[in-house]
Amino acid sequence: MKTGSGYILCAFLFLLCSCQKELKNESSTGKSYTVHIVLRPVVQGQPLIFNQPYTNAFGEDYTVTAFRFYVSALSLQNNNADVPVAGEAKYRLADAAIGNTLSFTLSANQSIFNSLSFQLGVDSIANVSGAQSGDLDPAKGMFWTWNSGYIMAKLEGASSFSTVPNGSFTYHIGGFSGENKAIRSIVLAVPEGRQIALRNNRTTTVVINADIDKWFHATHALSIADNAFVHSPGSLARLYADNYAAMFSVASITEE
Amino acid sequence: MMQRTVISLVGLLLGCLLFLEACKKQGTAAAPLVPLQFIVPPEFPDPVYKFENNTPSRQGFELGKKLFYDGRLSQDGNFPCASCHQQFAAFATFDHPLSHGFNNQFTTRNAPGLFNVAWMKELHWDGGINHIEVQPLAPLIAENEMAETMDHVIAKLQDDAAYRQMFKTVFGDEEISPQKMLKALTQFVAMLVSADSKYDKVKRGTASFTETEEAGYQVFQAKCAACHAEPLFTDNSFRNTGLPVNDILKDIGRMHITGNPADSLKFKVPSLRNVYATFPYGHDGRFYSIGAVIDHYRFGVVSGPTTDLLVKNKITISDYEKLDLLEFLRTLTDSAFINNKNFAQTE
Repeated sequence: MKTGSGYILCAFLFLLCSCQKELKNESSTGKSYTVHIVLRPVVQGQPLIFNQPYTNAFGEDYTVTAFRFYVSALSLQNNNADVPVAGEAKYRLADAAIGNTLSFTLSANQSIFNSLSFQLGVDSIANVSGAQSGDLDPAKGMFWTWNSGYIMAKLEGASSFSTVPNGSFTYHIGGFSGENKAIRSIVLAVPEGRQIALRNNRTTTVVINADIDKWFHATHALSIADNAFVHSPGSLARLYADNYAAMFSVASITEE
Repeated sequence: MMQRTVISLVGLLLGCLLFLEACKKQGTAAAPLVPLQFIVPPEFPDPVYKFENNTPSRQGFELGKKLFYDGRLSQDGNFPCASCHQQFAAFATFDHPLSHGFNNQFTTRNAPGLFNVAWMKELHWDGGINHIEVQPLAPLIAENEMAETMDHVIAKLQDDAAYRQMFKTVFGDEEISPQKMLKALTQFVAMLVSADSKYDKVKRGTASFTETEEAGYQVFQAKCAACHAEPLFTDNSFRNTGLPVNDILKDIGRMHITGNPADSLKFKVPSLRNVYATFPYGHDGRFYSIGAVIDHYRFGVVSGPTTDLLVKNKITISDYEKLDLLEFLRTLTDSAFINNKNFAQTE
């Protein structure tokens, strides 16, 4: 009789396991490492405040009213080893107006990392595969309905230098194929060449700054007076993409 | 002792059952989906749209049809998809050069007929839409068409118990999303296959052309088929057919999408199937008869830097040939399609 209930217990446990939707990422040693990623919209290093006046490299005043971008294929690496430390494939729409879109948690398999990479934008295949869901839902306002394709990143605001009648600027940057594609691979090294060691049952938080000011001045000089709006893929959108590729930096790495 | 073991055994079993139940995603099974087959006409090539991740069913088709005919997809309730895509006009807009949209506005182009859309790689006159499933987004949110927002349309549908039930049947869950709505609409629109005209019957050997129709077919093959390629009667390419630019619309066509000056004034080659049902003609509906279109190619082509080489020097078509051609084009009307009750609004 004892053995009988033992079998049932086993079956029960098996059921429990198969029921589990997401299996915890535990390393072979049974240890669990957690990395918390925070994307922090900033202007010149300071946390973004909507509608607050800023001044860009051309001396142009501006305020920000919307800032969103797609992140995917986020991965932590150890450049001294081949195996990825942690990663996920899903698309995330980071929206400066919605706090919980700006941070998320990854489970790691390995304990040491020294660089971090992700893709800014939406892969070409997801642009040509019809109706999508989740963060790629076309109702999120990041899909061009007249010229199929995702807006990879969007920045909107106002400036007295804008030549648009209502003084706004709207940069909707997209394009998924050809020389003008606006998808960018972002690779960020850990500051000062450090090796970050994750510790069992502790959470390590990586804060990544996304500096809006770089949209105007990074690889290219793009004043508001020259271009107050970009609403289609093309050579101008590509220049903005080059600039926003330079907006990211690792601000801090802390352990709780 | 024995009793306690039995009780704990029963408890374990119960626990197992409970977990099994919790594991099931959708506990109660709705009416089973009736599979619907997409039939490719024998002469046709492989379709571009293959219903991947959108398996067609009778219920999915019916849901798509309900959405297609539902005014609630527009802001003021007056502009369902069917307002610009009328079945008796092979799902084009009958007798309107430009269709009408929200708040007494005109659209900027002539609504094309909807048939054999599953064979189109790109949609719209400028090819701006790269996948049939995302096409409805364009008219839905355009301010001069249905003038709605996706969120608002979804909220309206979600409020309707009949829709909730239909979405649950088709997609397994009452929660309506833009993705599900678009997939359902596609199950209807992609099923609009037109391949039963007299021309098709002649090709299948169950009918024969009159002498005039046969002569017209010869003219068609010699002078039109390079762009209006059989059996779809379009090669789905983009070409500048030498139409002078309308000064008000200033429509640059394909270049609007690609940004490439070489694509200036290029528009999608429309299918000639059902051509007698879909008048007027041209991307802006400027031609009120097929004869006027043929005359454009005979006398009216304006040659510019991007004008297609096939029409640049006009096309020589005699008056006799024109009459024969018109008779042949009449054989492309698919009355069975235009009158198919399956595609009509369910009362």
